[in-house]
Amino acid sequence: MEERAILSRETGTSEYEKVIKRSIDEGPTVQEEVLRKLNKTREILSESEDVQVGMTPNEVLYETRLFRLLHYRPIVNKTARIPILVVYALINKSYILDLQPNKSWIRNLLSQGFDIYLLDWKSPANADKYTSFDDYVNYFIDDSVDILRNRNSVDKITLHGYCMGSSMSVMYTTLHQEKIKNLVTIAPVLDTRKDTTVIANLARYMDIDKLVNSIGNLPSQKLYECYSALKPFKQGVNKYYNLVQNIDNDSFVQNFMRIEKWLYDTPPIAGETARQWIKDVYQRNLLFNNELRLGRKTVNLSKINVPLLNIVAEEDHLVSAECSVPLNEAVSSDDKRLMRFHTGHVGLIASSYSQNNVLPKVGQWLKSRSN
Amino acid sequence: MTNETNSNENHAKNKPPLSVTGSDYAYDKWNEIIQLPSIGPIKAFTKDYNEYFSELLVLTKTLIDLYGSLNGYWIQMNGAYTQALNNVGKKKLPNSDPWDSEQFRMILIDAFEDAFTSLFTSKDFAKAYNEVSNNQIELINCVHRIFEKNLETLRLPTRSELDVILEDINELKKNIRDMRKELESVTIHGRASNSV
Repeated sequence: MEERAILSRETGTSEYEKVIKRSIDEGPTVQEEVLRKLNKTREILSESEDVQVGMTPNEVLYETRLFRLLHYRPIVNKTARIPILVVYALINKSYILDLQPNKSWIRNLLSQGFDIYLLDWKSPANADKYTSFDDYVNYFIDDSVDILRNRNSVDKITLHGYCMGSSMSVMYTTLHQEKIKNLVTIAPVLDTRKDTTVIANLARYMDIDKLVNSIGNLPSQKLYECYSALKPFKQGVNKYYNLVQNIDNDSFVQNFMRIEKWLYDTPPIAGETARQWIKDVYQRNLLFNNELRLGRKTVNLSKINVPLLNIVAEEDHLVSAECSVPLNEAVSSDDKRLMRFHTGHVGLIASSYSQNNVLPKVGQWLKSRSN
Repeated sequence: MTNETNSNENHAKNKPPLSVTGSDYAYDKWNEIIQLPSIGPIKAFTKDYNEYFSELLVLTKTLIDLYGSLNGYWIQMNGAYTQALNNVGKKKLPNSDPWDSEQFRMILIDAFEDAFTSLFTSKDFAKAYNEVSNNQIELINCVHRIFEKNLETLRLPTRSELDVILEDINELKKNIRDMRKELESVTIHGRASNSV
């Protein structure tokens, strides 16, 4: 220390001035660089509301308090005769299917010449706590299917679900098969006995009756708690580290922000629907056992005989592939196909992998059955 | 009425012998007074008060239960944390020069991921989580019951009463939609047969 002081006196500069000079000459130190990146990350995360999603042009055909029926503007001159109704899940928001132009499931199907409609579920209010799967399937989906049939002058349409929306599409097809030409499911929740995910484990022991009777709707907070237990370090912690590392890469940051917006855009689930979902589907496995009741009707998977395309992700940590695959065995269709892909639940629909590997095959399957 | 008479007789039989202490004497007298039919309103008022009091006791018990279940939850979380650190200890750490922080970070992430994912997929954790959740809900229920009582006092509709109305409205909406669908179907068939 004394030696340094002497040196400083000899050169006529202080230690502090030396550090500043060195920073200017040699560029920022590692610590300064990390600090800069952290500050930039903090600024970007605080501006997350500006993130643009769901940019493919569309019009609202029909709207109620609980759903909107969207029609996407065709982007090619000639579209297939049979329209496609996409049924999204009741978990998070449907814009994951149209997250950004180059990774949009919807836009890709439009570019392949399909006429696309989307059922966009709205957040249920406390007054909607008695809304059940019977309402969603036998009324909301059925009303939308009828609108498409009338609008396109066709008897049948293609029903295409994602995740919980796939399960709802399956329920609908068993009860209203006369209106369905093809059924396309992505990661359907079906044989929950075989589901090895954290969600299935928590759902099996959840006292959903107590929760719904006391609170009404299944609150968003409960869903966040479940999500935070999914790959807590590989995705939960690691993703923020990767963000800081790539904070100067605009494309990476935009992609991250869009996914992040979707992850935390979680509406509650209507009480009676949540009760059926947890109790009947996860705890009693009634959907797979052909014992699920919707209103006065029973859902029987073996009644399905329309062409079926079932798409599953091998690395799905929300719905195990083992839980979705048995659909193909449970239905009576002669024309049925199972497609497995080495990706995750979201990667299946909103990634470059999906654009390059999944959608071309899905489009090919649909094209031969949509005229 | 018979039950009340029996209860008074039982109380008389079971009451402790009068002691010399003032508190015992006051307790005995108070019990006798509030059970006199002529001062029923006082008994009714005390009954209301007692309901609030017992609700507060349930609230306290629930808080204690919640504390207990949270302890069980944190014991499992701490166990997973310790397991993760043990996993890190078992891995071969990088000894390169300069220090490979990236390799060390991946070892940490893998170790913690394995320990916590195996915890979250375990039956014990799901049960502990559900217990915490149930106690939280019970806490909300206690507060609800106290509020419902206040609403009754103010002659305002309670949440339970509103729930009955909501359920009826939901059923009515379904019936209306069924009728509308049937009407549409009849109209379409009518048009079709007319055109024939």
